[in-house]
Amino acid sequence: MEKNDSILEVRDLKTHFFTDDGVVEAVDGVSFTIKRGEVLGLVGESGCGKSVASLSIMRLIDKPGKIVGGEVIFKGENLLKKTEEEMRKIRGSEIAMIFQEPMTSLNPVFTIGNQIIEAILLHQDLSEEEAEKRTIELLNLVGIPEPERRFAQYPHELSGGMRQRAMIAMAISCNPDLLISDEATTALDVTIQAQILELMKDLQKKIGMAVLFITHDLALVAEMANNIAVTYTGKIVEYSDARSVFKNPKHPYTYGLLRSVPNLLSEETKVELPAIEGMVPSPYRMPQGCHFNPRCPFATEICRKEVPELNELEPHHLVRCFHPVEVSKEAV
Amino acid sequence: MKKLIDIQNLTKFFPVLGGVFSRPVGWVKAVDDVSFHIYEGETFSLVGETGSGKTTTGKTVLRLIEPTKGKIIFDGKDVTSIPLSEMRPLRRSMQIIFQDPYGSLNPRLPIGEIIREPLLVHKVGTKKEQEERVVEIMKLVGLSPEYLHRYPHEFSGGQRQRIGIARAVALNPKFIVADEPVSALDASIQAQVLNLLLELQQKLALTYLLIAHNLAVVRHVSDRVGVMYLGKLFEVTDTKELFDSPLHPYTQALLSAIPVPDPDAKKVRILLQGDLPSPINPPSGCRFRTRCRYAKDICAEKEPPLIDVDCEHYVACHFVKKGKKVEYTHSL
Repeated sequence: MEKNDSILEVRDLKTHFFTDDGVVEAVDGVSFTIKRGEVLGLVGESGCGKSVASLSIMRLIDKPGKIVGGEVIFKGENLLKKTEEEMRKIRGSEIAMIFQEPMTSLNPVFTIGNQIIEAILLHQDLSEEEAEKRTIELLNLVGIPEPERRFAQYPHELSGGMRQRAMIAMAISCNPDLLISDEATTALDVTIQAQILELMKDLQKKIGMAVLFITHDLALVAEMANNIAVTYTGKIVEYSDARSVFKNPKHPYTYGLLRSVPNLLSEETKVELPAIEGMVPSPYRMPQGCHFNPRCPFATEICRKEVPELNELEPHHLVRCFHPVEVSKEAV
Repeated sequence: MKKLIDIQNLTKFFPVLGGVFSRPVGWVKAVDDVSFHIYEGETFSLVGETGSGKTTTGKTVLRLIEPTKGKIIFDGKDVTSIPLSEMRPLRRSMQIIFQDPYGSLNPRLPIGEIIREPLLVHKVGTKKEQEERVVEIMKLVGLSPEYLHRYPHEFSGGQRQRIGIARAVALNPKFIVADEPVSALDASIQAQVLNLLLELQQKLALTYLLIAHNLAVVRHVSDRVGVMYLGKLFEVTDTKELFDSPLHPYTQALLSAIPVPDPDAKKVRILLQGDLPSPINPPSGCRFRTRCRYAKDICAEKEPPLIDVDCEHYVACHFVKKGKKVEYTHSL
């Protein structure tokens, strides 16, 4: 991958939490690259470190957590070396973030309009009237009907979908180069989710921003992402373009997930699903060797002893496994 | 086939209280004139988005919520207005599984006691027999009996859901309402719990009313499906028919909004405009008309009845006629 057209390059990022019960290696050596205008899907179950990774990029990790290693290169500069003052300028203007629950990210005592204006005035050299005009434009752009009226409303007066739209309007108010979407559509109904996804795709094309799309839902990344990184217990286990991950999954975890989740394409219903055995291990009691080995049907002696490296099995297809799955094309 | 559950014109309005005397100033029409039946041994699913009334319907069927109007016939017996003292023995054969495996278990009771509680309430067997039964059920749902004396907080989400299921099947019920049984669980755990539900249905000849918003899950486990929107049932048919040839415009939009885990899948997405109207003041005529792309004048004037258009394929739309004749066209 060319270096100069990458907007974000995360190298060997390590974020650990130093709790009374021990050290939790929430993000443990994660590396990925997002190019300008590209969508990277970061997929995983709860506790895989996907949200901590995104908060680390924004340098929003609080005690007892600490970024203990790695680099976050954003537009050629290492964010981990920035002062808090410099970070504050980047947050919200160059990198914006939207979260799962818009109600908790919006301030309930200010109107929607005021909150967006605040973001604009903070980062851009505009007068208040200009900022107000821009806010109405943005509300219009994200598909909020009657933007002038909505402008003066409080978050509780908006529905969940509308709130998420307002959040997106705020996020894109300063034309960010990178948008981090952390489970932004998870709390929404499926028809509203479809609206928001269309909106994100549309905006991404219009303003050319890169997106780090974090979700637990495999089907969603299939729709949104160019590249996909599958994470398990703080490590990336498989990383490739979307097609390869879905058509030719190599890691037993990815393969298992794809087979076990019911989807609209499966032929047989009311049959036993090929479930992945067991559950995600406790962060305090990680298994020896490969973290997936206790649940892996292909695990052997070496998996219980050594941690596999993330190897490039095929061009641009990275897999962290001693026994990658051989999937014939027809089987999936 | 025998109808185990027959719901006729079920209606539930919740008062909206206001003013100094807390008098009802309006009604939330949570469930409005809903009729359906469930055959013995099948899984009938109610799908719909937030506020569609699916959970209220499920709880009203069990009379955990008293209906405002309508009839509930369970196993040939009208249970709508029998006194609660007569209802209690019937509850042995009708049980419920809740969505939140964290909130529905008493944190102060060891799980052996939680599972034994229904046996105590209904005075089934001696203490020794009850204890034996608890061990038997735990094995049945895949919980090791050595966990008998542990407390709910010591278990993961998936295991807690197994405890909830164990409690529900303890009395050998005929009928179980499963309200979003897997939506709080991680992807790799969902399959395990779905498999358990399918297995128990086989072993214990259970009839399920599944309430879910995840349509891929519904497609996998259901025999027949009912689609709800704003307190009304819009389409009822067998699962394959519903997913292959949905007739109601809302069902079509709902199905098209589901993401598919295949980057190559070509989808024609029907994007619904706007948000769900308020159930306090639903639109006149057809409740879906404000978001329906086919809506015409008649939709605002008359409410379409749910009619059987072809061999138990029920649809409530002015433009779907007997023999599955579809007459809707774009009004634009």
